[in-house]
Amino acid sequence: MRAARFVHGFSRARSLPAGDQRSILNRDSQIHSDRAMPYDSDHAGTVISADPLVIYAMHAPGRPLGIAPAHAAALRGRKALLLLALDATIEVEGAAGELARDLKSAQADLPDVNVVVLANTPFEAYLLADLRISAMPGSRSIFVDESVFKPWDGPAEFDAVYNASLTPANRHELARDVTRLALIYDRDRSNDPNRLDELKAKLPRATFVNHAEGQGAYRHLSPEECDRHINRARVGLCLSRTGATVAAMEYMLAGLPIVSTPSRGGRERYLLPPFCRLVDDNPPAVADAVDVFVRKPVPKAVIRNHALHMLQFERTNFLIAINNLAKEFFGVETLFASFAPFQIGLISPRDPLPMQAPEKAAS
Amino acid sequence: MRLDVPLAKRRAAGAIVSTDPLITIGKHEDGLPMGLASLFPERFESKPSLHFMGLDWTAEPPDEVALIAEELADARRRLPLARFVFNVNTHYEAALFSRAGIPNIVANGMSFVDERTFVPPPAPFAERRYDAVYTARLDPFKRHELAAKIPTLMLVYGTPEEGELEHVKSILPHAYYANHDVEPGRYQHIHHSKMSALLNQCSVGLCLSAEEGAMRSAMEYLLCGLPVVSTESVGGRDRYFIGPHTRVVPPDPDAVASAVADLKARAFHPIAVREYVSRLVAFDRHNFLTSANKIIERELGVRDRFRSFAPFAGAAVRWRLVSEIEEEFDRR
Repeated sequence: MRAARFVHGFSRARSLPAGDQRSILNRDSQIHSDRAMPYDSDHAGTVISADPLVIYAMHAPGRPLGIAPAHAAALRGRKALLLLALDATIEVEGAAGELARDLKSAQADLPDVNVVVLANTPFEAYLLADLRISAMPGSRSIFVDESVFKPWDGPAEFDAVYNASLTPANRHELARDVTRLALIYDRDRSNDPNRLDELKAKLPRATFVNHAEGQGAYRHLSPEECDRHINRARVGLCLSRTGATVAAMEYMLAGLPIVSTPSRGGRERYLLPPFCRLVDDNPPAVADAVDVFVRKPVPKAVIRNHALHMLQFERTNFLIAINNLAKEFFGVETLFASFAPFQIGLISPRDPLPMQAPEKAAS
Repeated sequence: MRLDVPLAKRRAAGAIVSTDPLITIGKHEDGLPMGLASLFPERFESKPSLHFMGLDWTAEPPDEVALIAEELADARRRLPLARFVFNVNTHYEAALFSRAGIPNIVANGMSFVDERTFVPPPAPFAERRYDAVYTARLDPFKRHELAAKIPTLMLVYGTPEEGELEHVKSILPHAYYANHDVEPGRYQHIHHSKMSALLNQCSVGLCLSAEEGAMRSAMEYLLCGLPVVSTESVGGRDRYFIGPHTRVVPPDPDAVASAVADLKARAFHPIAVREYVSRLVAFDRHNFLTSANKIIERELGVRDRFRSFAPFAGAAVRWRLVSEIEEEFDRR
């Protein structure tokens, strides 16, 4: 079972930057640079299996099936299983209905493409069931690469780290009272050029890691570099109101406990005590919770093992379901013997894999 | 919604977990397609209610989901103020149900087994007299014959149908039949509070059917600290079969016996087995509670109704007299 990008032809595929291979999953954290797949107008999804055709793609505005219209057209008359991840939560008013309308319209001329939405929470799947959209749990966090995010030895110089783009939705202001704070971030997606300056004024003690690493200019960090910087802190922060927040899983795999505000959209799935403290939406509450973990640290190995335990559980059950779907749609027993094709195809940092045109995949 | 047994003698799984707002948890089972809403329909006619329903049998085979969709449509016509949510046992069932427009969440029935009832013995641990235990009806679908090569075996079971006991005895003459030992020659039901003491005399728990539902006894074994040998199966009991304490084998007596011998020889510490699965159960319960509260808020307008899983533990998967359940309308 070979993992490959689903694109129209070889030449364009090979021109895609290597970073895109691993940046499909998260729009919130730094590892998703401005080259990130969900915003790539040529986005074609990721082929997890070429024959039978199984594609993973991320739903985004203007791309109901997660793949650019030209590529979607290439699926006409083809039998495929399309696993559709969600780039933003549908737990907000009207979002599930909008997604359902988009999907039904996009699928109308692709009757042989079976779309299964991978919901970040069971409640998202519940909302979609009410609208007769095939869905099952499949959090984006289960694809985080545990070989990249891992604990490092050495003393931590920051009390907390927050890996989140500098958009207002991520509410960096709530970290105001944390004494030693590190920020890792994507290039600003808010289209507000003043946001960085605004946050520097509001968080004067914070270290803006990407600019510190670039000697004043923004520097993109590789996932491995992100992990190293996460390990410079004792606690990971999650402060937005919504979102799957894959960074939460990255923190835990790196061995950091988490301080989070209440949220909707997926990260709450993994935030169990005693490795996480859920606090009210105010700066003293955030700082106090960070302080508790700083004063009474949990061993990194314990937190990582907890995260790995949950990942193994989630991946095993995800795989059972995917194999059942493949059996139903394609009549193939045990299409995937392991979770590896999903990890390799989605996030493994490597050069672009050999591409395969869909016509060949189907033959 | 008809009952073929007099109500007073009927047993059902479930509980009234909240009277204000009105919320139940129950099971989709024969004669009770909508769980407690089918049992007491008149109680849900005049005010809004929400019903979580587990599945007593897998819905993965073809046509099962279509039947449930019809039952749901009937129930909605009969009780227009009631809302129904199926607690499905597998991710695949979730995909099938949602495709058919049936509201559901993944909430495997095994995660509802009461961890306070099923516990390992106090240390020091006594020697275990039986290599394996199989808690299962003596029904042919449970495939007791697959345990034939296990040297010492305990069987715990529900009331046998005619001929079932004799049939299993002919296959497993050497087994210890726990329910016939209390009063020799007569079947005796063993109360769930006595189960841990029996399970703790055994080294390994067995799951041998090819297809059923979530299989509560698999979780009972694990919570008591017994490793588990299971055949490949459909229905969702394999949800918790990860890690070193479980083995999934082909449906073959030699493979079953060999896996039992292997796990017995590894002599896992019962607390380690319990701890390992408990973390998975805690994860599932955390997510059930989060989802249940969101659904309750959406359907009944009440926020954060449940702060703990306690009202759901145990009762959702244990069959009780209907009269016991009905008392809860006035209690909670």
